[in-house]
Amino acid sequence: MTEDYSRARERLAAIVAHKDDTRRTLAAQPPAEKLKMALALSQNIATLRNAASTRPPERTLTCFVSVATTGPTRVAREASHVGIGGVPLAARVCSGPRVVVTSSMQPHMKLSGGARSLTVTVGADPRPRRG
Amino acid sequence: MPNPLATVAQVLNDLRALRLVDQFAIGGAYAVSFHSEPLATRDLDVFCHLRTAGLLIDLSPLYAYLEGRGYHAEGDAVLIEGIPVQFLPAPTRLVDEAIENAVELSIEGAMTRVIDLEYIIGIALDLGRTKDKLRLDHLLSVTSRPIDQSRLNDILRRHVPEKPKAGEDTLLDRWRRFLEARGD
Repeated sequence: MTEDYSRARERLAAIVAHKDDTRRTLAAQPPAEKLKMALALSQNIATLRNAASTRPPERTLTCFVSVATTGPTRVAREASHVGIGGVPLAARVCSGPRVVVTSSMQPHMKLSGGARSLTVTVGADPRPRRG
Repeated sequence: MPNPLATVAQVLNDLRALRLVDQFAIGGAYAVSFHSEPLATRDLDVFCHLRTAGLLIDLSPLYAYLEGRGYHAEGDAVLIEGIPVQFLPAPTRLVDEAIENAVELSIEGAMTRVIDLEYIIGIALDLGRTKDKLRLDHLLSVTSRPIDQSRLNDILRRHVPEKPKAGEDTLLDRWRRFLEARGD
């Protein structure tokens, strides 16, 4: 029994050593090659995820958030809950009272903001659905 | 077929030439892949210095330019050659500094900038999400060059965590705790 356990430990150590060698070999590849591999890996996973997902129905909604009353963190949280077709509007809080809405140029979304407030209006997405 | 990452690198350079972004550096999982082994990720994070007008950082001019080149927004990113690219204004002083001190990389002739190893560690430590801890583990296990401990300590000593926990005056305190919990 002890001998079996010892052999199993040796095998495990050999596997781990092999895995570490592979990782070291990968890490030593030219940086541009590694980025290409990361891209290929990411795209394969994205393809699998897309194949498994279903598209939720479109929604129309309007959201108003006020930086003055709720603070930037709250604004980002509110805005990130506003989305269409399951895709959230991305709002991010930066240092200080700054809010970023990255989806503002999507054709179905309108962004307006003054010194102390931010309004995000999300309408129906006019773009054709993909595949 | 051209490497899509080379095209992304060229588009980023064009954005800078047009002053739609001031300075930029690739961060996130691609930066970890640059310094360690390749990792999968949803998108390519580009941290940038952007001009602000008051409260809002409006990426509309940048999005409009990319739209004009046929790169459409999808969710919180823009699809450039099929790669979701997310433009992220530097959220902290640490990221600001990381952008300034990024390393240069040529992707099939197109130059680009990637956040350097010690800064990647600092940023992951500051964010502290599960995936950041995994990235730290990756970087501590295998890197293409040794971590410069004195540079890392200097960076961590000069920056305060964005959300400090009790007993954390600087990121160096968090780093020590992280290493302790990891058994190092």
